[in-house]
Amino acid sequence: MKFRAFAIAVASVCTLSANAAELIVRSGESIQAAINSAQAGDTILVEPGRYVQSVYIDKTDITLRGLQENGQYAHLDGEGRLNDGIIASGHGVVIDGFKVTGYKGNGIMTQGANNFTISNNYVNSAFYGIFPQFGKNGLVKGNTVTGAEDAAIYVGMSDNIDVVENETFGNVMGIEFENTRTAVMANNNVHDNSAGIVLSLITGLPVKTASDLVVRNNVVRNNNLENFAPESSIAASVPSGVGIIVLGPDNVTLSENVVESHNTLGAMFTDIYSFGLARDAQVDPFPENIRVIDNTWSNNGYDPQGEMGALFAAAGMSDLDMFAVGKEVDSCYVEQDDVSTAGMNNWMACDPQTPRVSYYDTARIPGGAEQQEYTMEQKGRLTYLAVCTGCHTYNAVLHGPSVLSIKALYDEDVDALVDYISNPVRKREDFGEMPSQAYLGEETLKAIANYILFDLTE
Amino acid sequence: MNNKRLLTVPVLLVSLAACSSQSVLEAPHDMVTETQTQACNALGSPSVMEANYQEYLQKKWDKKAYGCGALYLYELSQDSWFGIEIRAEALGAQVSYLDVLDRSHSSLYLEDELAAELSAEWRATRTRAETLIGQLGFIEDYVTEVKLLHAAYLLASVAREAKISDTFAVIPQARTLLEQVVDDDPTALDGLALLLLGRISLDLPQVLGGDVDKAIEYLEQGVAIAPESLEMQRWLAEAYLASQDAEKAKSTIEIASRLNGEEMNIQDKADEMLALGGLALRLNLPESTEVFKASRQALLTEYPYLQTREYHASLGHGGTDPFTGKNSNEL
Repeated sequence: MKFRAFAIAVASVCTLSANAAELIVRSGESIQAAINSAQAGDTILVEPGRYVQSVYIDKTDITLRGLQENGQYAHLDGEGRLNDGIIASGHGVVIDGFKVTGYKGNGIMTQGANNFTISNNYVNSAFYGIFPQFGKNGLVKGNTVTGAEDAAIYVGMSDNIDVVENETFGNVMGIEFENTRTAVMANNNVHDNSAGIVLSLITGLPVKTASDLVVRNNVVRNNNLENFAPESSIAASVPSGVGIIVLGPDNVTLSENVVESHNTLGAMFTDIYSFGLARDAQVDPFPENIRVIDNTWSNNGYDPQGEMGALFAAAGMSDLDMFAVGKEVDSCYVEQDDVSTAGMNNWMACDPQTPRVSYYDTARIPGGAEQQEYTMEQKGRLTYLAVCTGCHTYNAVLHGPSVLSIKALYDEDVDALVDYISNPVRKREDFGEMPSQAYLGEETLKAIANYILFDLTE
Repeated sequence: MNNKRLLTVPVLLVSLAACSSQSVLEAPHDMVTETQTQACNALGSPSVMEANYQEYLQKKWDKKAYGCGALYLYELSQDSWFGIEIRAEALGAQVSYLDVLDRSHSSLYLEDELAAELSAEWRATRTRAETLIGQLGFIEDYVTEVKLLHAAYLLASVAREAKISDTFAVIPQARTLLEQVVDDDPTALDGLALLLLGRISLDLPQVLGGDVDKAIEYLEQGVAIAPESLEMQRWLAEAYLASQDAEKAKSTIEIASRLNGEEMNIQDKADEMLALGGLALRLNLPESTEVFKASRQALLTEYPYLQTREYHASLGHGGTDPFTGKNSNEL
């Protein structure tokens, strides 16, 4: 048994158990202060109330749990001005039970965290709702996400991930697996987004492959919302009115999903070239080994929209459940009555006896993934990607000034940059006010500043 | 006529993603943009334009210089009485300038001012090219290269600033012209018609005439005509990969690794080495990868002003591998 006294006024030890403590955060107190005091294995319980804060978890095996009482949540509120709700880079993190609203960047993000769980949260109006990136072995379960200008649940460049029993609506994309390997998406309710489910292989990212994805038992319905992603973003190119988009990955199984009431199309299968992404010679553009079996299709393709509508008109096609560009290799589907398809002449008939993949039920690793310790250089790069790239690009203007201009301004003065990031003041009329990133802690801020000023190049 | 050395064609033939809301079919625009008026000092001085345009048309790493070269050549062609050859060369320069513009910046995450500048340049170049096509129309049935340049322009013109319906409108026209060229003289401009037909067949959806086997057929003919062309070899390898014929793709890449691309523009060569190196990596050909990597690195070291190229996603997400710190888009 351990007992730890910590000299902060905002949290207190409530119960103690072998090698783990429970910390309570009361309404209005600092969640970050509790995290700063916690040790591996601790649980932080956040009482119902409104918390206008950003939270950063950089420790292993921390459970951050929002308590609910009489329908009241522990509510993280970004008020439309803070960037990120919860960011975690510590392995073994559990983020459970929060209401997260009004953040400009990420609602809940894990970055480089392995063995994570994100469960039972309600996220509204973030650019990315729930966004695990560069993680191994994770679970995203039982969340509700709406109002995301990109993907509601966005699994990026990760491995061995389960996304199950979530509900997404009112987003540009309901659930996306991007450059992700070995993942299961099951029993989700994906409705009333611009596009429902997206499995993508995007060029130009550090991870150059996407494969071994199972999408099963999901309800994908009425995803016909007009695409409202910012005009210059990559998400703006996602066609609306499509239930499922398979863009480039290999070894994909779509099984036992209900796909209905999409005005453009039930599902599309395309290579990277045809979709119009920039080419990346290290990326194989052609999807391979797609299996479409035992899904239910109805009322799709009744009023095709946008570029897809133009394409279908040019080809004289309508009322399509499935459309393939035609460069999918070694792919198959089970023919069904009243299911209309196009471009699938080179697809084979699936053998119903073909054994299902071993990761059909779960993609997670028994026993969990390794929890390696990151160097400060790695931490700087990971946190820069998680926090800074939402507003800054290297040499172009996004929401904030370019990195190039920041480098010029601060030269090699790390302390000055850390000071500004911690206590920003509005310097230029043409940019909005940057929120303080002091919650990241001085060590991490120094790592970011070092990365920006010394290592980051075009 | 020496258009081949000037000519490359923008990569994007068709996109299923939501495209521009602008239409290529809109009314013509000014032929000289404000940017060019400021940057191209020799405008109005034929002798200075004549002396400089060829040098500028080598600078594919510098879109402003290249744009001035294309503009000067256009202006000179308009001063030339009955100048078929110079007008055809000017048309080739406009097509290549569209490619230079397209490669110089991602179409995403652009700041408004730059986006407006690129748009104005694109439209002005298109207007000049269409003027030249109109002027050369009477000779098109008799000079294969002119017909080929017309087709190349049609494909290049919709890489940006175009609706998908524009793309669908121009591809059949381009295809018809290219098939006529192949019937007349498939060797024109080092087999460019075969390269473009191969690319169309590879890129188009099946329902709109895409056909990987046909792409391979065209590109194999193209390689027979231009075996030294790195670009032709690369696209043939891509087509083999699309048909899952990895062995033939490997053989093609290994052949390409023994070519030196001596006559290529240095920017085109650096870009080609990156693309071929990526293919070699995908095909698990370490020796060929090293050849392309070394060749590209030598070019970037000798000519540090060359563009290294960026990708859409790199701008929004970062191309750096956060674990290794390496730029993952380099070989």
